[in-house]
Amino acid sequence: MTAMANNVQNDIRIIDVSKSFRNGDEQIRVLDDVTLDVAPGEFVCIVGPSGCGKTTLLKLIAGFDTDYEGECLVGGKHHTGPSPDRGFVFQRPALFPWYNVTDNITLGPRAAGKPRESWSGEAAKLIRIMALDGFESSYPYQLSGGMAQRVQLARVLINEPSALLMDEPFGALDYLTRLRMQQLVLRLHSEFAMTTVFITHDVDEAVLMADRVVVLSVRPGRILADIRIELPKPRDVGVVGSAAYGEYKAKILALLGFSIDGKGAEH
Amino acid sequence: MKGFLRRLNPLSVGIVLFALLLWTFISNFVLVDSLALPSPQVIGRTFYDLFTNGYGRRSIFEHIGTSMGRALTGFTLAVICSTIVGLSVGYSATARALIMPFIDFIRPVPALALVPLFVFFFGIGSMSKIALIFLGGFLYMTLQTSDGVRSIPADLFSAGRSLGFTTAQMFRHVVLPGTLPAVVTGMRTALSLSWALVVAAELIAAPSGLGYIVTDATQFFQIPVVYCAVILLGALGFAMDRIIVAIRGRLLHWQGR
Repeated sequence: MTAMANNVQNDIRIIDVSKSFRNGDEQIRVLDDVTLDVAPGEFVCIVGPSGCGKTTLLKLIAGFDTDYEGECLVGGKHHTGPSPDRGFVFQRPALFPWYNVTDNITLGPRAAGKPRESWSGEAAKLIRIMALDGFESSYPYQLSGGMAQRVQLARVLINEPSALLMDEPFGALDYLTRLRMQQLVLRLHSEFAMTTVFITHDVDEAVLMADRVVVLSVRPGRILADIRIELPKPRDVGVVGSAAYGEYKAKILALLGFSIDGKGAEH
Repeated sequence: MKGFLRRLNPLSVGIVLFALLLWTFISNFVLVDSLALPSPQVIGRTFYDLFTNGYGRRSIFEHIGTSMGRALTGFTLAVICSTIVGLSVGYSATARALIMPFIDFIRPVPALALVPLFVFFFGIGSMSKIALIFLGGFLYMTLQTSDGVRSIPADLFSAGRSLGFTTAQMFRHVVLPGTLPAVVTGMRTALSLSWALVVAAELIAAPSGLGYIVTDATQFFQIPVVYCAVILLGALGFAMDRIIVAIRGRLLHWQGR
């Protein structure tokens, strides 16, 4: 991982990005004039109601989708396709069921034709970090949801990405597993400081993890607020008891249409 | 084999033994010397005769070899061609547009309707049977394989792209292994189909093979011989199916079934 410290840290600049899908004769606008800067090494969470275009935005940054208006720059460059340097963590683990844990994790460097010596130590280290020891030759069907997601994370991190794009990665996990995964990602982020964009619909998750929380509106997705979370880092689950945490959470929920003043949802 | 014996359901073993006993009882004491239902002893004697003296100047092994050879040749060719065509059709919209009209046109034609045409083209020897089996297996497996390609979750292609796969790597790490289950499942059905088609083709026109024995023996009222041929067909078909199932277990262990 030492190599990662030497990497140029990528910043992400999204300028006036709009995106529409065609559905028959209808144009459905999913993103409307989104402008967002993510500084190198920053951890930004994007929250919003389902269907607000969060995932669409993330796929634009990753380079999966290049058909949009506006500019989307990573490391100052316009990208025409995905790359291992902008690691993408899918909502479902997207592991290759026909490869065991080690083979899944090492696919990136092997596909790039890197010599075994250059990644085998790294793979062993990631397996230890992700608490996958003893499961090296297990196949994805034998893993729990949390383990599969950790394999995916390792598969992305072994490529030493300078940006990490996570699409509701813990949405399908149970509560306790999710808490553990959040702590793991926070630890990894404080160690490797990759620029991170993390999509979630879980307001608690966003406040707990992010340097900044960006709130998107219902479709077409528009930025409603960009809130800097000034809670001390490193954070652990204890932070949820603090008054400041509660204020952030209430503020974001209010933006999403849920005010905690006894009146219930506004719409 | 031990595993196979352990997996046997005692209820199934019991009912099969009961059916065999019932057959022995009825054929020996109810329908005595019936042409329609020969007794186990008669079948046993006929088997002995078939294996020692053969049938129609050919040994029984030659007949079995002929039928199996036709079925497996047509089947193997069909597996190879359908895998190539199925992968292309599943992967490329252009290939799909170019190839599917023909496949969609021929597919609804029952393969057996083509037997006379194939005999006309290729003669009554092995060639016409192989061609028929090839066609039947090829059409079925091409569709299976192309559906298999299209059933690969989009996330896996995205994951491959995000890991920096080249087109060749995408093929090797995603498309091929992702299609394998469909190919093997298609092979299993296509093998039974091959076996059915070879016999059907031999019933219509052939100088040798198990299907030929069935027709020929029927014409000479050698019903026990017909039964023996049918039992052989069943046993061989069953054995081939078991082999495919074993191969599937090896190749697709990662499915966790």
